[in-house]
Amino acid sequence: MDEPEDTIDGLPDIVRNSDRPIIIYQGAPPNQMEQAASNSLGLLSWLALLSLCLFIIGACFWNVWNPAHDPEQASPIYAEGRPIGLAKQIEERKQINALSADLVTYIDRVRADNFDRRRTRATHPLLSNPGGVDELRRAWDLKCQSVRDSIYDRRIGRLEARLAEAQRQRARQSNSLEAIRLDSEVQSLARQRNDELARRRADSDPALRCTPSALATVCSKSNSEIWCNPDKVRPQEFVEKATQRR
Amino acid sequence: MIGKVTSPPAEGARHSLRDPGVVWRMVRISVAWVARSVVRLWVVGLLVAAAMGSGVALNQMFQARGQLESLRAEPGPDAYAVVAYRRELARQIETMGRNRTEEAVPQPPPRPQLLEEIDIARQRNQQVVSQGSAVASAPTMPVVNAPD
Repeated sequence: MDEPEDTIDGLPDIVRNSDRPIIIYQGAPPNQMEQAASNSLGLLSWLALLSLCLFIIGACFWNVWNPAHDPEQASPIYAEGRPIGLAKQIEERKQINALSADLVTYIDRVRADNFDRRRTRATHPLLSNPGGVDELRRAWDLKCQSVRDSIYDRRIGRLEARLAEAQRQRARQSNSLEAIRLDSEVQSLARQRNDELARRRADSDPALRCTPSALATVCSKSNSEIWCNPDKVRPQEFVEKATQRR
Repeated sequence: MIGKVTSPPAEGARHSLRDPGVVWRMVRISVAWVARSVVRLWVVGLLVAAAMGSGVALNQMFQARGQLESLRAEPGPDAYAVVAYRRELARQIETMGRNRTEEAVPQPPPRPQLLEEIDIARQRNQQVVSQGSAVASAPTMPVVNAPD
């Protein structure tokens, strides 16, 4: 029986007999562990940087292109409220500027025409164009009249319903005392209805008199609506005010 | 370090180049190196692109802010108030169009100062026109000569 060959530290023959260099490490090769740790840290740093960049892109994009509106804040342009995104704020401001451009020049021209005692030909689109202040004022006055009419209609309708009911009861009534009471009630209701009709015709009820929008009160300094004192309500909308605040 | 190092003879090296295993191993190493380089380039490119993108996004945002600031320079609060008044009128008209059950008529919104000035100026212009037409009709009236 052949004796087994003397092997060095159990290296297989195929390795021992090859022409290639044999290097046997104890433990990990030098610097291998450090390199692995360094690679992990590097990867994490890359990921953190990438995430930061993506976060910045997302935040900037959202800041500029956010399509939402804030319904709590009134906007002079958008019915749904003040836009939150910068792009829409720019759009809103451009529209405001376009609408109100030369308003002061316009009033100066009208005053100059008044001074020269001639009829003015100056107009301003914000006032005279379709959808302008003049047209909206007319529409507002008409709506107010319609609201006033509907209030009178409701009042007169209620009186007429009560009158009809009293007349029905009177027709069924055989008791003379009750008939007398119902007669007086019918007369009273008829009088009330006629008074209401007269008030409606003459527009004599001050509580139901529409104030024309062109004769509305003028904004005071203490008014907190945006169309009265926009620089107080929203100082950041005006560069001068914003710099004064700083 | 324990080991046995055998210096490969030149003849052996020539043999090993013909060895398909060695060639395959070299190809594999080359492919791995190329793949690793491509991945590294891709990661670095990604990061550079992200950094450029964030720079562009920041620039866009600050440009938008600057544009908004410049737009806010004009007009002043007076003209702004008239535009806001127009919107408020439209809003009230819309509200009045809905079903109302209140027993009082609505009150119009207060007018901004500038709009009141415009209203006064326009009203004066109307008066000027009516006075002007009265003056214009004067020459058609009979002329009364003073006695000699």
